[in-house]
Amino acid sequence: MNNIHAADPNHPVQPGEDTGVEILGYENLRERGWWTGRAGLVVPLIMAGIAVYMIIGQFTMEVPEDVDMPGPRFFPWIIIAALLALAAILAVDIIRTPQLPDPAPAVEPSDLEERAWYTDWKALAWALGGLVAFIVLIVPIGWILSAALLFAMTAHAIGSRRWLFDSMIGLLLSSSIYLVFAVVLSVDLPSGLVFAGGR
Amino acid sequence: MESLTSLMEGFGSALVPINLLWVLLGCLLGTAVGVLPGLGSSMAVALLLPMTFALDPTGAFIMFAGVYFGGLFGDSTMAILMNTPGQSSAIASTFEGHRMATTGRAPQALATAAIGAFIGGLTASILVVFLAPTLANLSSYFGPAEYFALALFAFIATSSVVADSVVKGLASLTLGLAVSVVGIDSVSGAERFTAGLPELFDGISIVTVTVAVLALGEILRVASRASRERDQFKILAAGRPFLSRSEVRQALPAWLRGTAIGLPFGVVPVGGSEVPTFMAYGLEKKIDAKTGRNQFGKGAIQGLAAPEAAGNATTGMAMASLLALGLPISGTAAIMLAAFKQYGLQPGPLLFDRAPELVWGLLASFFIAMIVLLILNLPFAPLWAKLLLIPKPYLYAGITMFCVLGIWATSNSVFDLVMLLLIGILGLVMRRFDMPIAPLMIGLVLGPLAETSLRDALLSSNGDLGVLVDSGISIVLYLVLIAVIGFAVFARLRSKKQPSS
Repeated sequence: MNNIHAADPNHPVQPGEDTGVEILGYENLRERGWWTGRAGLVVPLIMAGIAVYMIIGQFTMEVPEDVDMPGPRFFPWIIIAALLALAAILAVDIIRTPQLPDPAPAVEPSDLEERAWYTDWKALAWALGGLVAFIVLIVPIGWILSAALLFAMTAHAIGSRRWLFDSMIGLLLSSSIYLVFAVVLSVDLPSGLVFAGGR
Repeated sequence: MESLTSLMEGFGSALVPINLLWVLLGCLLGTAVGVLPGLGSSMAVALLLPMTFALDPTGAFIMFAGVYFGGLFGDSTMAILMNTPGQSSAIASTFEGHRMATTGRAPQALATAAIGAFIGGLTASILVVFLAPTLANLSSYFGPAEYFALALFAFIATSSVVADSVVKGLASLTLGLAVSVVGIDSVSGAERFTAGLPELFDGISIVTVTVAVLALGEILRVASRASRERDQFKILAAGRPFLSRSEVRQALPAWLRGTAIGLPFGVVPVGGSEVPTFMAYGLEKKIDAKTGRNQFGKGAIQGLAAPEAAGNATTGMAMASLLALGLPISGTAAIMLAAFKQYGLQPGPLLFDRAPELVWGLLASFFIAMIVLLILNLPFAPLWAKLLLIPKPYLYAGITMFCVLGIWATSNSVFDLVMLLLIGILGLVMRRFDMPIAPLMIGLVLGPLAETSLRDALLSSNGDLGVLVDSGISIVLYLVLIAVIGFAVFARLRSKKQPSS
């Protein structure tokens, strides 16, 4: 969706074009000094982290004595070199020219208020929390309840505010999936508490 | 002629009622996922891949044929009606397609797209039937050095030609390669980067990575921005699709030209149908300006017809390279390759001998899928847009549930769910900082091929790098690669100059 601008600079498709919605301005993000537009440095950081993990792996790897050359370490070394080189280029790139994300158009006065972050961390935490809860709970309490909880928490993250209703929809969906996949197609979904471990 | 008899046998196995049902179901599901904002055809295949494990391989792949093309139809429906292309290959269709829709010609636009996709896809499918066995024979001349050249070609082309930033494209590619080397090395048996975890001995499943990066990454991105980005689009009303004779006369040459542009890109690995769709759009624009009709910008029917035909022609032809060479051209094809591997099948020249029933059944179901989709989409395209009436929180919460269901169904392990979450976060980070996803998929899928062929080549030459450019085929491949890169650099420089003039 947000690639439209980049794809054809000669025909910018205005956000909100043809919609009859008045655009009041653009979202207003807090200035972060040097860090403004440089949050992308996290990408080279992740790349370097993976490279370090791989370097440690290279040295602790147990390679059979009689292995044909080039051995199992050969290709990973190329990847490690590429990861480090690209991370460095990317980091220099971001430090030299900060990259700001496209701001969202504001259609209501409240949209114009200053926001601390581009990312809505609270919403993201709900979505991630739902996944973590699902991973922790699927085996002990089973598919139906844990998936329903995942549904409700994800819906909450994306802006729904009706816990009871969301949970009911989640339960309906997770039970139907259980019926179709576990009962009809015999996919192994943990039944957990609902059928007291039975099927 | 041999191909024709085999194809007829393929129709025989595809036209069984149960398999027809799978095609229909695949078309419906694929279109449904393709229609959803932010989710394109490759997502459709990834999300539905685990759902097919209950089927036998033939049934599963027949269903995939439907999903594969259905996703494309869904992409273009949304591109036209709401200006939200589900995948980069549908961007070129938005320019004139959405303009047609806003000037009250939405039904005509949808019909133009559906017929264009039909013509492109059908032509490609016919060519695949005759070309794939020949390609498979040809590939017996391919040794490790040639396969390495092909893989390198796909790597460089996807990350440099298609991506906006070459560095980001290459970075995404290397991340994919890094994931692909985890697990027990198939040549020496050494454990690589597993940290001693038995769950990692078989490597990180391609299905997990695909669902994580493509689906979960998008869901997390939506969650992180839902309160900031309000939906501003409204669905444009559409009536019965009906093209007048003069509209057909305008669109027909564009459909054919688009198909012609799209076909070769199915065997040249430059990252799928984004390049041909833009080329087809650009060509029509030039023709329009030369003939002095100047309809572009006002909803020119040719500007929609050509990219749609080109996109589907490429997608169809991509199956030839996948089946005959085992080489995925696009992200979607990469997931299909993962699906083959999941069933213990290795696409490539041997597949035609080992599983002829499956291959020809799959090819036959392409034709069936095309016809089913034309019937489904001509009259019902606007109905698909009604899917968006489902409130966004429920839509994405439901997709999240299907993501975890798919991973659980394929792996039955909590460990894979943790991997899903971690790689999903990587997908979010990549989206947040405009890193292209397709190179990662290509690197992940072709990484093992690149590594084994490189090692085999060097092993046979005792480490002499010259072996890589020792044969005519690999030299030609490298020369074409250099030409492609040169063309991309030239096009980029030119497009940089244009806005200032």
